[in-house]
Amino acid sequence: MKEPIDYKILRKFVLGKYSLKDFKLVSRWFEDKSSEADLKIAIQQHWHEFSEDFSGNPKDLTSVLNQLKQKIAKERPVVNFRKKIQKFYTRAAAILLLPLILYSVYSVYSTFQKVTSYEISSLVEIVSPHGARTHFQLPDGSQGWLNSGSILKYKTDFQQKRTVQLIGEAWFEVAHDEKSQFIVGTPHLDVQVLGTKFNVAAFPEEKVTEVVLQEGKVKVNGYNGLFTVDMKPDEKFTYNRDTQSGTIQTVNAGQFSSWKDGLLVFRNEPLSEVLKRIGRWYNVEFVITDPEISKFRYRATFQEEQIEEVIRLISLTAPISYSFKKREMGEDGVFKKRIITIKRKI
Amino acid sequence: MKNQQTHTEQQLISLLRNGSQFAFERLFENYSQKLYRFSLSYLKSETEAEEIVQDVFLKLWENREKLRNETSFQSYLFTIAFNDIHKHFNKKARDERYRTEILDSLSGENPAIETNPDFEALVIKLESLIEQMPERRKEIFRKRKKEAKSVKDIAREMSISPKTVENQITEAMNFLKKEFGNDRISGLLFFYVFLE
Repeated sequence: MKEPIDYKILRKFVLGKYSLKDFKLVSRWFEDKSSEADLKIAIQQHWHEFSEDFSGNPKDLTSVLNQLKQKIAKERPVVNFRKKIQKFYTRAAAILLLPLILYSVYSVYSTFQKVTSYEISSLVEIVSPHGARTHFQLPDGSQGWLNSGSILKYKTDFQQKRTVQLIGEAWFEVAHDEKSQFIVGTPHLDVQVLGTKFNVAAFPEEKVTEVVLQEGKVKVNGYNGLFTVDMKPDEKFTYNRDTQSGTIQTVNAGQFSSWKDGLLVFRNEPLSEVLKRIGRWYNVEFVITDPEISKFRYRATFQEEQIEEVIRLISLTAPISYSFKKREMGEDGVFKKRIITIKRKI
Repeated sequence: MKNQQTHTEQQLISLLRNGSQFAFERLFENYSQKLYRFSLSYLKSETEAEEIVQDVFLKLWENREKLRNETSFQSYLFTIAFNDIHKHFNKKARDERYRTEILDSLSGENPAIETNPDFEALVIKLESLIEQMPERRKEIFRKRKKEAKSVKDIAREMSISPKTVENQITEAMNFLKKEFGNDRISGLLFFYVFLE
């Protein structure tokens, strides 16, 4: 029996001023299947009118949020950035990938555990000073280069769990070991590999983290289940921490690792990108006065040049002029980065 | 409510769709209080209202990829909340039916019970009266009304005669009838305030 819903009675009920008779009516509306649609409309009406300004203290729901966060962290969803292809397969993939997901969760957990247990176990730290590139070799035979101003850390039990933490940029040539995956942890994502050659750039002062794959296969995992991406050779994955989004581009991978050979290679790249990399290379800071010049695209290869010479060569072909500022001493007595101002050539 | 949002809701929703926990937490901040109080108004239980909040947001996360825009988010949020409240309400109503039934039968003697605008206070009064009954009578009465056991089963369980069971229940009902008499109901609001 379908009964019309009386708004006035429903209202009395939610306000707590209702009789047994009202309660019996409300219960009937709830129980009766045929009233459900009408009840939903009535309650939706109430939801829209429901004030969001509450007098009195808000209810403390922190524990509810914390429990939710825990539940969410356990789930490790696959968000592919090539959404269109994946859309139809999301459900199937979720089932098929479950063992893989569980495995990734485990590996991320072990990475975290490593980070947190740094205090109690000994740690090896490789530091590449500003303006230098450092070659490193790991206990498992993997090797690579650490770029200017970067740090690589790993625990002394590296042989059991091949995990390193990277701040800055490094090129890796990972020794193949089917049984033991190799993980590079950075503040926003980790790269999971078996054996391969790739470049990771995760500078704390930059809002993007980049992974470029030259050979083999890697999996890039965002933390808290944000994303999981499988990369193919000659692909560049860029994660932007501000927008929490990632993109994949096809690139010439060699170009991104040429720094390790003392080469600075630019292939049709915007001047903003060129100057960013030169700045990192020579430990200088560029001030660009006119945003228009950032868009100018540039192509060049530099090898073992002085910074003055590099800038001179750029200014010969790009519409820019430049001026070096005298290095200033900071309050702590340490000289600050050299500042070079770039202007548009008139 | 603080609402210093640097992201618009639309941005948050598209971030959530891509699995952003940051966006999830912002949306929780924006909607959890409303959802909590709304659920509380139907379920009258803080624990259950918290359960609704948790469940709705968990489902929101699990189905985040289906979210399209602001309107669909809002209506999706409401739909999950409605279904949850609906389910909880019915379960609760079933669990508490015996109280409604007792009060219903008492209203045969005193029709004011049915129309008294403070049903919640009547329920509290009923519970405290049951609590005041002698131990054995209370036990028999609960088994019969709350657990809906037959007189025969109760008699067997407690090793007493069915007649004794019936007598105890009649006694209990007479006690309640007296306590729910016309003159007592009028002072109910006062009674309720004291209980709080």
